[in-house]
Amino acid sequence: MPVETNSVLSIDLSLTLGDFSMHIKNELRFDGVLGLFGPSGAGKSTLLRIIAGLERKGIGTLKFTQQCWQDTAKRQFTAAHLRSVGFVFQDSRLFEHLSVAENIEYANRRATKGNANISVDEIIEIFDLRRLMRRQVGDLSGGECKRVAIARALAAQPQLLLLDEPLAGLDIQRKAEILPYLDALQNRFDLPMIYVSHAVDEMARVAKHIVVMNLGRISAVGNAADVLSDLPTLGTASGIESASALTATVKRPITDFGLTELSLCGQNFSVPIQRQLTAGDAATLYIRASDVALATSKPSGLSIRNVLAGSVISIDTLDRAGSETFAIVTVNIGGATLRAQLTRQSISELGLQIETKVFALVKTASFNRF
Amino acid sequence: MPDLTPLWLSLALAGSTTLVLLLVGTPIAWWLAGTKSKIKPVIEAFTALPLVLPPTVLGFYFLILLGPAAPIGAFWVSITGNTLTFSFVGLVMASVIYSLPFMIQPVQNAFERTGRKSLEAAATLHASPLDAFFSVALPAARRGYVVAAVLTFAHTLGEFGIVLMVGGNIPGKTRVLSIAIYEHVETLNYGDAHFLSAGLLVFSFFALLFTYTFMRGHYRHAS
Repeated sequence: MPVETNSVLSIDLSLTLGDFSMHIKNELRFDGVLGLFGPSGAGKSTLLRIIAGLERKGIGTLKFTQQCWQDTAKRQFTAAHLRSVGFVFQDSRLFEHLSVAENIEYANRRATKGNANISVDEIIEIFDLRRLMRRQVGDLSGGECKRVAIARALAAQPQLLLLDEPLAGLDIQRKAEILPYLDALQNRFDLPMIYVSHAVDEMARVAKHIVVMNLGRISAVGNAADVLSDLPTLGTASGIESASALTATVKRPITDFGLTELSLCGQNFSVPIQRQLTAGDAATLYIRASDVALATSKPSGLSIRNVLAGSVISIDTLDRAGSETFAIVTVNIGGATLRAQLTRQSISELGLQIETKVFALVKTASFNRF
Repeated sequence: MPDLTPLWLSLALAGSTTLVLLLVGTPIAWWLAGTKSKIKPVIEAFTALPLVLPPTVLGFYFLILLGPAAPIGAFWVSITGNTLTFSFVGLVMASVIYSLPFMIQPVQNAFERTGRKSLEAAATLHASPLDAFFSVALPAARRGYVVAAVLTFAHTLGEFGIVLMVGGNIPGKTRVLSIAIYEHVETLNYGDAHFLSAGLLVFSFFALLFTYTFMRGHYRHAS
């Protein structure tokens, strides 16, 4: 039996562009989607452009599995069109002079020969494009553009797929519409993927492993659950948005109102239905600090369902933009910690201090699928 | 009914000039649209010169450059036995320079609109730079080409000064529409002058009307 080798991307590169400098020396192994996470300006997109061959100013070496794509010392540089890399751009970049079908056909006609394991029919089916095939690109909605852009990148039969904030510019509802397509993509094709985002909820949902980037350097690599749980510590240091990772057990997978009911440190917590879960399963929840509000008395007459009782552990100032307005309040909820981002004015008016009893109101939570 | 030979000659001149400029103008427009070179403004200013110079200035230099005493003119005489000045080929060469900005600017704008971004997308779909040029940049610039071709054609039909200086007024060879009209007026043959002038006026109006409607549709579609 042949030894199964996962794809590896070896990067040893430096790049200086004006004030920005980047140094990456890492071996990235692919097993499921690799999330590339970090604040804006960390160099995530630049790294993707280097991998795709769109940015030529990097100095060093870049290897993907058996192929050497760049070796500055040997004056070797494989041009972008000769690398088997698919790229989904933030701004989609569909060809406006072509229809949806022609955009996909454009990619498929130029697909690397002998590498065709993704059938175009399957792509069209997965991304639900049948209806859209004859449309002109200019007539597509934002979400439709994203689906076509991902489908087009796949039709070129890449060996590595790079997604640069593919959901940028979509509202929460549109994002929720696209995410299932990404799940289907992962389940159907065993394709190494790098998914760039600065949003915790997207990362939690999509990535199996996560690389955290900050100021042109990789600051953490690991399992999604581990990295995301460490984010609060990483976050204050690096300007990443604050979030909490909490473990919950499933009480009732399906309720009459289409919710899944969880037990979070002995308190009830419900989320939109999660069909993959059964009663007794443990699940990790990610809650962004900006999605949490605090009250000093138990609120009533409120549409928010998830209200967790606890007490304040600490109040920390933000170490990034917005520090004059916001602060992070950490709350102990039956042993687990939950972070809330509040305005400093609210904290002062509510008279919050350490050990104040509070009720945390959680607007939305996201799951990690792994 | 006046002699229509000048009309056919004008159409042949405008047609040839447009064809030559499609070939010559494309690489220049492509380079201008993509370059970050410091000499870009110099080249841009140079290609825009015919917009502001009196045709007589261009005509004067062409007369010297294409004349049998200059290298280009002498070379032409040595291979064809005829002079470039006062010939149809000489007129085409002068017209190409004279109408250069009318070809370059719309095409350059169209290439700039397609931009580096679409070409990068094409590269990640395995299109070589040449492939990307023909499969993405050219088709995306097709409206720019239509506008450029119409303007170049119409502008060449209307040229007068440069033709008179480089080509003179040789019936069937260099006497184009505008020269014929001048001749008719000089000889007080107002009937024929009216006929040709009105024709040119109507044609030019419709060419411009087409261009403006077309461009408007383009920008509305794009926004």
